[in-house]
Amino acid sequence: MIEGICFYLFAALLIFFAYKVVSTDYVLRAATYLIISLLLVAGLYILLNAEFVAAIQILVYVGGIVVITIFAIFLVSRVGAPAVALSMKTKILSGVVVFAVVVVGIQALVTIEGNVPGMTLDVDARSDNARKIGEALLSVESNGFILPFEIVSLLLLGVLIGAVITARTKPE
Amino acid sequence: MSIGLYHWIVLSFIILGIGLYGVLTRRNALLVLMSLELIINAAAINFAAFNYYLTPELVKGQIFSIFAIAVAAAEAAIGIAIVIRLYRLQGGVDLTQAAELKW
Repeated sequence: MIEGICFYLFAALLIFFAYKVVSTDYVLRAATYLIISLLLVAGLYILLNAEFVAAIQILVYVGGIVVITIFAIFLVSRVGAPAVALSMKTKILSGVVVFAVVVVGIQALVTIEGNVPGMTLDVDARSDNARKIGEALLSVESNGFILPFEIVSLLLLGVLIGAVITARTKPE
Repeated sequence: MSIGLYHWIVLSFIILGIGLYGVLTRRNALLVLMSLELIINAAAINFAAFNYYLTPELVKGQIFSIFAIAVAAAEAAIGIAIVIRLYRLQGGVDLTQAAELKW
């Protein structure tokens, strides 16, 4: 019962603020609405018994990604000036495309609903998932994730170097 | 009022649609990047929801969510580096003006 209320509340607020992110005229306001949306997503993770993912979401997204986005906003755009909108025709066309994608997807979902086991299963709370995630990430067993974990660390190293090289000024 | 996997997938579809709309309609490169973050979040919610309803005793879906967040961080870093480069190159971040590689 309380999960249902929380889900609908978080979902409604998330849809509202996500729409504000893509519809507001000011870049900095969009970043602020994005912070609220990401915090709501963290709340949804807690509803899914994924507290560790919720913590990572807040640390990495709100503490990292949105902060560098805001730095970039201050570097490259005049904060007070409204963003120039595209033409109404593009907006309507995009709306049609998005509507088609969402409707076709949900329609496909309706046809498979009931064929997937556990579609409406109610699961009791499990709170030791940080330990489980840590063990699975570093396990060398067949259900371990040590190789993707190392690949992601290599990816982040490559991104670090690539971002510096892409954004730096040439030493003339 | 029990919440099934269906509810989560529909929510994720709606967030995906909103993000897609932002990517298609925005001209400012930073706003396109923010819409991309929404799309990646929709995918990550899906992973965690499938984990919760299909294999609650394992944490594989949550690990995929964490990898999605890590890749999103990488995407944001490179994307913002490209935006800053674009700004130096053409004095603005309007994507409709970014036609340097066209001929």
